[in-house]
Amino acid sequence: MLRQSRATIPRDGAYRWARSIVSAILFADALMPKRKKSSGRRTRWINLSRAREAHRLSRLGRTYDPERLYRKLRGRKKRFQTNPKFRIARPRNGTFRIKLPEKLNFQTAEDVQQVFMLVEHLREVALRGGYRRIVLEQDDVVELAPEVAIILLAELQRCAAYCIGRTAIGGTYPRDSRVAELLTNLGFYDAIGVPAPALPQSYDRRVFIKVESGHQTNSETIDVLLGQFEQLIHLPIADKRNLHVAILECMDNVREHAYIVSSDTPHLYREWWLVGFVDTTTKTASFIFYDQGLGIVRTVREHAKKRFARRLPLWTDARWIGRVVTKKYSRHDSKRRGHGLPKLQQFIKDAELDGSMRVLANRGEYIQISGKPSETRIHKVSAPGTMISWSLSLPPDIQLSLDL
Amino acid sequence: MKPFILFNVPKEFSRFCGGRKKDHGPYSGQEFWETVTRPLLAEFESIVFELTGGTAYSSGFLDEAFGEIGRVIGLREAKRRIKILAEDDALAVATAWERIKEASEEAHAQ
Repeated sequence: MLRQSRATIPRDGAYRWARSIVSAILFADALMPKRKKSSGRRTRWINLSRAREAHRLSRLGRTYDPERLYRKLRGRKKRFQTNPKFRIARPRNGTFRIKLPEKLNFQTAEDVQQVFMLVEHLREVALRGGYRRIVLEQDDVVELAPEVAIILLAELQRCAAYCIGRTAIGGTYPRDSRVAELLTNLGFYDAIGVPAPALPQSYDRRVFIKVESGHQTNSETIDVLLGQFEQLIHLPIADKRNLHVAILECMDNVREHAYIVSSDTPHLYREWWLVGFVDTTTKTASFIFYDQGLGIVRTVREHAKKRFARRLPLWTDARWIGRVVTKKYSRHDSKRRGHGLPKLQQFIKDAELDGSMRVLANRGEYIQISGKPSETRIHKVSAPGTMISWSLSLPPDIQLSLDL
Repeated sequence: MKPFILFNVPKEFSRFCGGRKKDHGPYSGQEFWETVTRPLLAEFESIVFELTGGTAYSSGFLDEAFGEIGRVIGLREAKRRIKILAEDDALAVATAWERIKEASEEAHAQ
């Protein structure tokens, strides 16, 4: 009877601890002087306590092991490579609600700052807040820029990857159908494991969006994404190739520089997100590349050579970004390296259509609009990663049909 | 040594050439150097690399795949033995030769 119950008990630390107690009791019992009259009672008491302890431990193994679900889900989902050095706190608080503002745009410096603060808040609450449940209230959102959507999605995927088995992340659906469609197409609801909201049969569709993510330099992925836009907009072959090269350079940079493996930061290692979208109202086509790494400026600063070191305190983040995307820069002492980032603006410079490039990293922003001098911006809040976006103004007479 | 070979990169290697190093992803420049360029250099006197038809070539890929030629045999020898063609991507050819030149200069400087 006892052997059967022992066989089902998980042999973890608690079991060994209880076994040592029982052994100690038995040992103490053996040392005590034998009293013939009470030996039967003592044996019964010891047997009973052993059975109770075994039962308690078996219950512990079945229901109270907090790591069990984590291990189970972790074994199944190996999509993201998380940092084993970073462990989130055990949940001790209840539910935390984060209310998203009505408008989440990405145009002005204030918009950008609002988004960065929201993302930072979400990350802090999910990874360090120790809540059992986090609810993202999206009811009131009526405007959501695709740039914001991809930053939110990436952050949510990071939090979900680290919170498995500890903190459940959920949310409410937005009332606005366009916002709901945008989030559904981005895979926002898949990321948090909830079904996508039902959309009305007809409404004013404005944005066609496709997203890809991965952790390797993969040319085929870029080709698939760009191919999905060929039916809608016709990019000249040279422009398409330049854009393809620019994205390849971004992927290679993420793979090599963006994430530091030895750090204890909760990274999704080598992960990048690539989004393409066409807005029918503004008649623009945009492609965004995003990663959650240290940021271009921090990476450059950490590996800056001596000749650059004296400039470090004087140069703003925006100036550094401008420097590395306009001229060759490499941490290696080789002429052959560091040609990647200048290719990013090659696409905008050579494009037949008017366009712009925007690079956001750390507290700096660099904007290059074709035919105009470059602009820089400094933000009060640091970006949660590096975002590079290329935007093309489509001809005004182009007919855009989203029924693909 | 055999006299000549025409190697069509999109057909015989991949249309989707990737990044610099092997661990960056599939069809990398390092993989191309190790499996294609280096064996061909040892076996053939004259090699023509045809890049026409590939989607795009990153500078990292071109550096690893072709730049190494400059390091191993030098620019003058590379110009004599190697031809790189791309009807639809002149920039890729120019970049490849630039990397070969830089690699040759670096090798000679050492």
